[in-house]
Amino acid sequence: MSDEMHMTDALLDLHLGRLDDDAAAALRARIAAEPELARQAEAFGGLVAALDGWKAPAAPDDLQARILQRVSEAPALRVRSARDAGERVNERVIQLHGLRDIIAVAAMIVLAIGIGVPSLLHVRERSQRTLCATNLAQIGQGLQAYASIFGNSLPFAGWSDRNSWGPSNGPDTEVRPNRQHVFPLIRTGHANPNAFVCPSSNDVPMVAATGDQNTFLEARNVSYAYQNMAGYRPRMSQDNPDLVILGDDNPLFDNGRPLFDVAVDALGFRRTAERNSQAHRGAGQNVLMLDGRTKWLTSPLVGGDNIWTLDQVQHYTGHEGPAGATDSHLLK
Amino acid sequence: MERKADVELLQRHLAGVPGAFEELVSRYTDELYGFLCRFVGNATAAEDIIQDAFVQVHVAAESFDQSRAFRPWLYTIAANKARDYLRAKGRRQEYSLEGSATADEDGPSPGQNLEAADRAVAEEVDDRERNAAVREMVDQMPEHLRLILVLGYFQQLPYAQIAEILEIPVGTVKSRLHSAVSHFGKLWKQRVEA
Repeated sequence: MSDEMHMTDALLDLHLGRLDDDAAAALRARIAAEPELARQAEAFGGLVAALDGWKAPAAPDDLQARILQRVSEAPALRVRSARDAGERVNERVIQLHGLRDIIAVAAMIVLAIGIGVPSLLHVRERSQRTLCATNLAQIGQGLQAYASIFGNSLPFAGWSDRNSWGPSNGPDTEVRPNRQHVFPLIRTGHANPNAFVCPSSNDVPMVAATGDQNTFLEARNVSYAYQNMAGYRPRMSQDNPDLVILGDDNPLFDNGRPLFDVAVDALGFRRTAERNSQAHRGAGQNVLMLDGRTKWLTSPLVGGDNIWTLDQVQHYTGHEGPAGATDSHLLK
Repeated sequence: MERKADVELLQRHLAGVPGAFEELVSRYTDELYGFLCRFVGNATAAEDIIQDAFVQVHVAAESFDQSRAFRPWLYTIAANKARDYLRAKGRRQEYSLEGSATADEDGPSPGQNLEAADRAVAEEVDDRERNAAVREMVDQMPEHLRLILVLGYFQQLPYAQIAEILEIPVGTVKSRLHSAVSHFGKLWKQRVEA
């Protein structure tokens, strides 16, 4: 930085009272002794005089009362326990997502009529698929609200070199299932635990928890796979809006354990890797994009990226993560 | 009466103690309203945004990391709401808040910008007209410079708190604030010379 830049910074800091007493006294002495510096200080004085003249209006007398009125009308979302959270969040979800639910039910009715009364099983599958998408949309809204508070960040439970999202592979390894990263969404009241259970699955919603809980009680409390947070963590409103960040469970991993061995059967793996999630009988998977859209995919390939795998990774140990915002890797 | 810390008030609010949240609102309404008026340039919008911000604080109080300072968190929420408003209003600038240095940030110093201006001319301008001109010029500034000018100059928040609000290093806060004052100086100079 040039000396002149230092000096204008110092003048600004002097004006804002950000210099300590000694530094301020020294600068004033220099200004008094150096004509060129005095000229700069005088010019700077004219500038700050203009800025200082701009007074902000006083807050209206009734503004505090209006703020408190709004707060009193806000839903009580403070989470003391998961059960408490579930009940309170339910109220909010019903309030916020009533229209979406209505649309979902309407879509189911239209589907049933349009198909011409096909087999009951087929209708049931379709409706479950629709309700599954509704779950993802609800979680997506929660993610958007969460990110708006936390600087565009997605929920993240922390990560270190000792962590593994897969099985433990040594005494120094601390297993941290990837689903743990999405739990802050429930803890902060931005999502209902029920929304994490796909109606097509045998999973069950989490119904009880302690107040200091930091993850789901059981793996079966969550049906969906979340973006692998061990590597690059995408940021809302900044990264690729088409990035898949949540979806039906990954068929290539069982709670973080790879169900394949690329070294043994590379060709077989490539075929397997293009399988759909088993959540909807292998027909496809519902996914949530970074920008909040949901989609039904009949292939795990999105823009050339396989949402079940990491780019350039063949051997999974539980420590790998995405290298950037174009690589989806959904893990439960 | 002893003034309770902000975080303590938030804890008391979470514990259901009546009056705790009211104290926080009372403590920050004037300050935050001034910030929002200057940042969004619209008093009516500032009234709406400050209400939304405090509702958000209430809703998300449980998630607040109580080892950190409350004030930057409140400003972060309010600034995000304000930026949402500006984007919805179609005033979004092409500069990003965390963007790298722009040509403006490398511009001339405030001293240089004002050197050619006749200070006497500026002083002759009617106060009201001058204030309106200042408001208009600040409003013209890129969002990221306007935000840091309001936080650093008008609100006089500590550099560390601004760094926390904007999620940028303290050094960047200083250089960006310098750029913002410099940018304003350039606009002011153009006006004085016009």
